[in-house]
Amino acid sequence: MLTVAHDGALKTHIMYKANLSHRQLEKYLEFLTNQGMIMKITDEYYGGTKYRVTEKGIEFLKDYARLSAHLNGMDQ
Amino acid sequence: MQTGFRGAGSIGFALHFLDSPSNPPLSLEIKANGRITRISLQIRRMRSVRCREAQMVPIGQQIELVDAIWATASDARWHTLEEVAKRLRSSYGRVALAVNVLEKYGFAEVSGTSERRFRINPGTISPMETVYSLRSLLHGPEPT
Repeated sequence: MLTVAHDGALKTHIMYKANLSHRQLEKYLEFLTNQGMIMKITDEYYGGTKYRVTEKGIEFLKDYARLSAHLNGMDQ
Repeated sequence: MQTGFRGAGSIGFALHFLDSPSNPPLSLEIKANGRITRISLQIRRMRSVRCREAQMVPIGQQIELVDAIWATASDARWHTLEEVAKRLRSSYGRVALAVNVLEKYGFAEVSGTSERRFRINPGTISPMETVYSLRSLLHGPEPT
């Protein structure tokens, strides 16, 4: 499954996997692209646009998990 | 209220109930597009809600404080950290940590020196939705 991350995913692929409507997907992709958490790449083989998670996107996932763990730890 | 959502509307909706002075209900019914969705809520320490609705978040997934802050302050208005902490019955320190992350990744704009305040930037999706989207790209869909 990690192959998807390396090669990028097509819009339809993301829409199916994330269970999003087309309208939702456009909003999500715009936000994530603007914030640099995903990037557009052109697939020369398929001739279409794909999306790939960037280092910043990975960093966000780590920060979110760290923050969550830290805040939950503050509860104890 | 839209159907097929995974968090934004539902989180805010649930939190408004938690924020009400009366006792929060244990279950909610949302009618959208002719379809009734029933949600049961389990309150944990006044800040966390478990949503048992497959289309919203996976069963057992706890709504995090950072998402609660995003939902509470996503009215495009400026909010002080104290105000949000009080509203969510949390502490200033916890809210400040979460807002730092929201600012770092473009979810929020922070202002003020003596009294820090912030607002959620328009067009953002919730942190939880961001996590789902990025994970979907990396690993495939979340389990339901």
